[in-house]
Amino acid sequence: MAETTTEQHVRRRPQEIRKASPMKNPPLVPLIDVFLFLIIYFLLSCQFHQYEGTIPANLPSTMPGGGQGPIIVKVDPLHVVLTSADSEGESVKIQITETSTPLADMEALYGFLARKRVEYGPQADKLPIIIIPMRGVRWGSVVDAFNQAVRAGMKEVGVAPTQSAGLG
Amino acid sequence: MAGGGGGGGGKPSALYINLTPMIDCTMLLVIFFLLTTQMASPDYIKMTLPQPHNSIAQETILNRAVVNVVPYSDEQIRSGVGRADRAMEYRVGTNHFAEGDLMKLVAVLKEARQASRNPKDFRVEIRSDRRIAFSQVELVFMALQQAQIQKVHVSALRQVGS
Repeated sequence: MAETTTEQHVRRRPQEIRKASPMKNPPLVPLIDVFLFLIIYFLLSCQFHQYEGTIPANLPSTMPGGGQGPIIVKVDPLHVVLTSADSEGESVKIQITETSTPLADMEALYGFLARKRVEYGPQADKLPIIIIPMRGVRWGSVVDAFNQAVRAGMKEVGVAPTQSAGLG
Repeated sequence: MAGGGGGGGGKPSALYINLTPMIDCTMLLVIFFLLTTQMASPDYIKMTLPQPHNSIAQETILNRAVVNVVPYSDEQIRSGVGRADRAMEYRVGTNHFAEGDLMKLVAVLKEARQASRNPKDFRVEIRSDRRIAFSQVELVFMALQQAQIQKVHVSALRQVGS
């Protein structure tokens, strides 16, 4: 029995090889072409992004009629004034109008707002933080202050127009 | 070596290049690009985003419109005075606006809110280069106020590892 099987196997093998030979070497060149085209396509069309995200917040409520009315707030807001510390506007001085105390840096701003959050308790959700950038302050500094306010747990963070920066 | 014939003195075998490793590498590259690539989108214009201290920036959200405050390119800044902190234009999707087009921007934002899946939860993402003066981004906040959109997201770089 075993001999017959081997014999059949041996006998069938050359036929199989002959039949299978076109399939044994499938043309790989078109496959490689397609892969290379795909790589070139991806290399040209993709953009390597920076590690980007978004900081969420709600702007303080405005007049029901919309438009240009003043911001309506239920709790007295805290005003964070940012002033350019150099001609380039890269670094800023931070001051809280209500306390007239200058803050050393963004970490100090975070500490101040975090303390306010604890102080106000549940009402802190309605405590608006208004960032007031003076002329020449760059967007990067405004976003930094915005980030510290949201990081401190503040829910309503707004940015006042530069023109209204005479507060205090 | 290919074509060496094994040194048995017989007929040397035909030159043969093994393509399998190359196909393996190519396939791995294709898979890598498929997984890591993000297609160029009108919402993501190349710019230097702000990098706040201890950034809490999160994953980008859906149901939103992205307002891009487009800076001048480095070449344009070099060739023109006072362009470094100025916005070249504002973009929402494929709509372009100049600095004075506040009403157009308001109209486009209102339209985007109406067209969104959930207008009540509609958000606006503000993307701007960190070197641009705030006075240039002010227009976007004015438009948000006029369009009565309160929910905003500000684009920033994320903390590495967050």
